[in-house]
Amino acid sequence: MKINFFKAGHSFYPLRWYILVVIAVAGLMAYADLSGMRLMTRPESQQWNSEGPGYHK
Amino acid sequence: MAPSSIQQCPLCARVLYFSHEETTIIQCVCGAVVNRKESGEHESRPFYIIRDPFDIIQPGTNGTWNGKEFRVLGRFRAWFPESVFNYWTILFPDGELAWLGEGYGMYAVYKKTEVSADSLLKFDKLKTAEKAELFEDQTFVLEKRYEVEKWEVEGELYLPECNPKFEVYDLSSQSGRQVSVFRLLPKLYVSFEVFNSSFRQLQLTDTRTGQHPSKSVACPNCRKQVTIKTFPFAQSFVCSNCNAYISFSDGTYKTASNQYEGGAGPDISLGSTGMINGILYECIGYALKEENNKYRSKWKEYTLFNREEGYAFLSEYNGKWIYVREQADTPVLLTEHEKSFKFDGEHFQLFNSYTYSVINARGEFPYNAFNNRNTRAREFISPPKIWIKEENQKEGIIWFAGQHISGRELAKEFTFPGGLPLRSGIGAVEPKSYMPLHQLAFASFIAVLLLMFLHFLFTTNKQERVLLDNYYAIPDSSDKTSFVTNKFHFDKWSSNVQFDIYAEVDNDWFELDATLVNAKTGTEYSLEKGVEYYHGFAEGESWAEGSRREIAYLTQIPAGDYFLQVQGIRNNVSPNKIQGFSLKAVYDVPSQRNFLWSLFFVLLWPVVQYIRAVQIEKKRWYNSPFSPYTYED
Repeated sequence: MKINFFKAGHSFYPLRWYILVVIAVAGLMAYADLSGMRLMTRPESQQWNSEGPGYHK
Repeated sequence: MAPSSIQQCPLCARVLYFSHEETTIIQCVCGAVVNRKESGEHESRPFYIIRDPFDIIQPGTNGTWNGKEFRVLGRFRAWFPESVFNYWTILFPDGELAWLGEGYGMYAVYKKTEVSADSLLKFDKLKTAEKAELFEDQTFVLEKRYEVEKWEVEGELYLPECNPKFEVYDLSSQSGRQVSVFRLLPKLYVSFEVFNSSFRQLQLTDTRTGQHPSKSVACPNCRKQVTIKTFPFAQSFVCSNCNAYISFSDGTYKTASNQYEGGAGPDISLGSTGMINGILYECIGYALKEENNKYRSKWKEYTLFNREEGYAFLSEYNGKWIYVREQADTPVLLTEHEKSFKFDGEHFQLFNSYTYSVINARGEFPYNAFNNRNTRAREFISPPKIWIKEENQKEGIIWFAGQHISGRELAKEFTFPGGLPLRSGIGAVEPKSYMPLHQLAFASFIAVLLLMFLHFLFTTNKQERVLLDNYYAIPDSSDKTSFVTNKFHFDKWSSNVQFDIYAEVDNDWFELDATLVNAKTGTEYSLEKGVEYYHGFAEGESWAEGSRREIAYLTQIPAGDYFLQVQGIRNNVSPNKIQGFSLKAVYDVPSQRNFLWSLFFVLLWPVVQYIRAVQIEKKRWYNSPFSPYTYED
């Protein structure tokens, strides 16, 4: 079955951008949930490694 | 019922074979027509015969309906006041006989049915749009009532004894049932249940090939010959020589008006061809129409023709186009005052209601374009779709379904010598951002469900492993305390550590520095978090700010072995200096924040879209007398 929301006349055509937004947001949330990330926060943690870039107070 | 029988043609003595017991008329190749009566007698009758058949369907054509094959035996062609329609007699392999109604690209199978005898008694006084109970507890609306002025036959067919002129009643119920009642004699009614189909669905084979033949007729106004491309469907045309408006009545073309008014001409060249929705059309007619009201709005309407699919129309107003076709499966409105209806799950709202006049025309039309001043058109919209109901006492109710089509798309197909007309405003069914509120709400609901499901799926297996949960005292001699934990193993490819810090600060502060060190690579992840709580009394009111509890996170920590270095620092000069602090560290905790922010973004779009859509809809409905919106001016 060929699904193309961007084809005028498709029943989901008016929702095409929304579908993209939902996929993007759901993907980001899933990644954040899986990786331990917290969305929309300024990172409180600093990372430092003697072999690479970073910050050490 | 008379059995299948072999007869001899009374004129040429050829053998005529009635292939079904119910067929009543058969045409001999010599032109004679034999009528088999119910009594079994046979008689030669002077019925009109179709002399030069040109239709796609012909006797011998095969097709399929509802998974059953059928064969076409013959037909009668009925001439109505403003249309012509074929009723083909079709025979199924199981011996069942039915009619296949065909004309103007519409196809329907007619199967005999019995309707309430009481309702038939009232048919004499029944007017279009009035109700009748044909079956128990089923209300039907009379959509059309018209007289067959003449009928002609071809091949072998079923047509009971009837007068040279008889009446047909088309009725529809809100449940979608359609019934046609044929009043063949004053007291003989034959009823059929109508099942609409389409050319593609019928899968017709052994059809007649070739183009629809043109017919040359003399203009009744100037006597010059004019070519009609779609006779006998063309019920009116404009003489290409003298511009007189000609319409078909009483079996011939007559001058409707020779007062050519002028007005804007067509943008699409007549005769040009183009594909719409997979159907190759030829543009054969053009009409400039004007509303008969104070607004005098004008729009252009093009008549398109395809031999198999029949007629379609392109309507253009302010550069916005609608592709329209007459429909057989239609909404049924029980009263003429209804301002909305639901059809196929979509909600249509009354947008406009008007009568109109044709003020300029070219080409030919499948209806009488020049006597429609009393036709009431009502437009119901659900962008990008539209239903147009046209109603007059003579022709009854005709429904057209339309859909917005882009001008650019049409320009690729048809010839526009002067280019596309300029666009302005918002079209009645232009799909610009249009999405019904319930669809928007439903889409948002599905999106929220999806987020909830994904969030549950990816957080349900969080470990929430407590790494430490202790109270740590700060020595009196120092302003800080520090310690290093044993090693922890983090097994997830990436996760977080939550720090829950509590310090009994009172107009004071405390700071926690925590560093996770990867025992193997030495990579450090550190944070600093202050705990502050101040309160007092000023200007008659007590105040407080900060909190004795704070939560901090180390995020996206890769898998590995780690130990934690912690240092707690207090304000040593404070009179209320703290003696220690509590710290709880938990590995791999879920974050509701992720869900809430995602929810925010997913709901933001519909909210913005809704606000935008309301503005656009207000503009769309500005010119409608049925606008649900209020306007300042």
